Amino acid sequence: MIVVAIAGAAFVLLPLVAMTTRVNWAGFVALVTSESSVSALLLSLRTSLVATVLCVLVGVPMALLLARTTFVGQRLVRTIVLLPLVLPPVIGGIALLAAFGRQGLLGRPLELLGITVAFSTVAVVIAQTFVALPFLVLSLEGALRLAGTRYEAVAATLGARPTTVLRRITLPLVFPALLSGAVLSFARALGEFGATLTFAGSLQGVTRTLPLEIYLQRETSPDAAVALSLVLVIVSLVVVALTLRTVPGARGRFAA
Amino acid sequence: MTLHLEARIAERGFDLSLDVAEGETLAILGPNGAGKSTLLSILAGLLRPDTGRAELDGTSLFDLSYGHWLPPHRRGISLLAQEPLLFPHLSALENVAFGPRSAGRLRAEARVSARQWLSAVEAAELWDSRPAQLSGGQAQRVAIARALAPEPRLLLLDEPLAALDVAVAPTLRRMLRTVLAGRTAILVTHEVLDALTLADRVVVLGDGVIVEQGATAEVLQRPRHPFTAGLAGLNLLTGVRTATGLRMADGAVVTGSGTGAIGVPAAAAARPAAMSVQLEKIAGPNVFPVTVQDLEPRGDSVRVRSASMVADVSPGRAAALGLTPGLPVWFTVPETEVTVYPR
Repeated sequence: MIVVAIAGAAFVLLPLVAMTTRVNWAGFVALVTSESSVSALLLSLRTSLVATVLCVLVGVPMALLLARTTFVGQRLVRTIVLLPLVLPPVIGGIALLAAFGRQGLLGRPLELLGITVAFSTVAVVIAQTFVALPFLVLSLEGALRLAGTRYEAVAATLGARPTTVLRRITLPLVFPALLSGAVLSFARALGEFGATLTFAGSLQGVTRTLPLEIYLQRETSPDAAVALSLVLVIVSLVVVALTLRTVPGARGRFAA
Repeated sequence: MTLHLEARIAERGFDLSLDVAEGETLAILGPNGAGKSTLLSILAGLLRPDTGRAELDGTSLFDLSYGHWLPPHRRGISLLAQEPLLFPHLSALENVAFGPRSAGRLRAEARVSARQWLSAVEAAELWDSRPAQLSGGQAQRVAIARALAPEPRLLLLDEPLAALDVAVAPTLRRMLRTVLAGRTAILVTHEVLDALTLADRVVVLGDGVIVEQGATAEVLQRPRHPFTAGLAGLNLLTGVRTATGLRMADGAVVTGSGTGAIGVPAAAAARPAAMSVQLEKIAGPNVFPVTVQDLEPRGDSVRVRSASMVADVSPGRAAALGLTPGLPVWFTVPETEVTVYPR
């Protein structure tokens, strides 16, 4: 069993180590600071951040409704919300195009108002939010169920209105899970490729995020692609480390 | 009358009506599943019965005949549970200040009042502690202060001492006695000592209905229900009153002194320590054939259990008789040790 586990860890680690052997260290700084690289990195960070904020704003009420209420069709709603998690991102992109594209369901009326969504930075954010939202809803809903309603009931008998209970008890109790959910959403948004390419295209400085830039560079300058990949690996590592630091803390608080 | 409650839940067979007077502490006793916690949840507003109504100090808490239901936060009823359930992300002081703050008091004002309540439960020095740092007894003190801080019109206590160390419980029981003096409260407990020291009156629930009620001492000395007799540590024999005692359903005759007119349903109580155990049938009144079910050490005596009665004998006596489960024996009790009363 131990051997298999070590083999599994090696399986994950080996490609990453192999990649670092391909890095052109002499030209590393120049490669990652080129104009197109910096612009892709900044665009990625900016859009992922906005997408994460949107996930929190939309995902918190969704998780609360799923965890704290019962309504007809709740299982169906939960399944649909979690769908982007298992859907190939390209399909997500095609679906978003059907909704927000120029000829799309919502896209056409928006077009008449002079708003074009597809192939803009807004489209990048929409694509990222679409794929990242389930991460936040899933982790928060689980935490809410785990925390239970007993503290909320006590707060209510102490005279707290439902909004006060939410603000002072429920949300602080699940804050670690909210944080780790947000970090996971951010990471998913940062790595988003398929839906972005399909729905937002690849315009430098507008919709070409870091993963798109890496894929493009691979054709013309493999050294730059490897160098940028390393940057993304480092960013992802930091994100995972942050999540691991917050999640056990969350468990400890609920066990009390 | 401060509190009046009528509530029914058909599915659980829960159907009761009770009153609590101003400043009175009512103890609710009963076996697990009797509906004690259901009763508290209904009053706190956490569980809605099928039908019923409740009124507290002239305010209607709910009246389901026209769908009226006051939410928990507008009832002025605090609930103290077995576990302290202190909010883990707030300090002891912030926990206690939570109620006053929710009532709209300013932060500084709420903190002053929280400090006073912490002092009242002798936990003033714990104000800055997080719940995770507190011992079980300390946490329950803070929880008591938190339940009292909103100055509730009715205090509900759900086995408040059950989760505590035996070493800590007596101190907390004494504190609750002070706290409950003059306060309208309902105390759910399975501990007869809690009922004796804290309550003015007891209600015994069984399967969702009231099986007996009355002044605490009266109910415990003259139990009418087997559960109450068990709590009070008494043997209970029921039947019909005769001139010398009572006649049980199986025809056995119990001799003793007491009250009640001949022919009325009656109960007889006897202490286990007053019972003695014989291997052979002896002459005289109150000789009952039983089979030993099990033996249980109790301090300096051995409790001998049968299906209907228990007897406490000395370990030496138990050894001399060679008592083992399954052995047929005779339980006897002097007639002076048997109290008979109507049920």
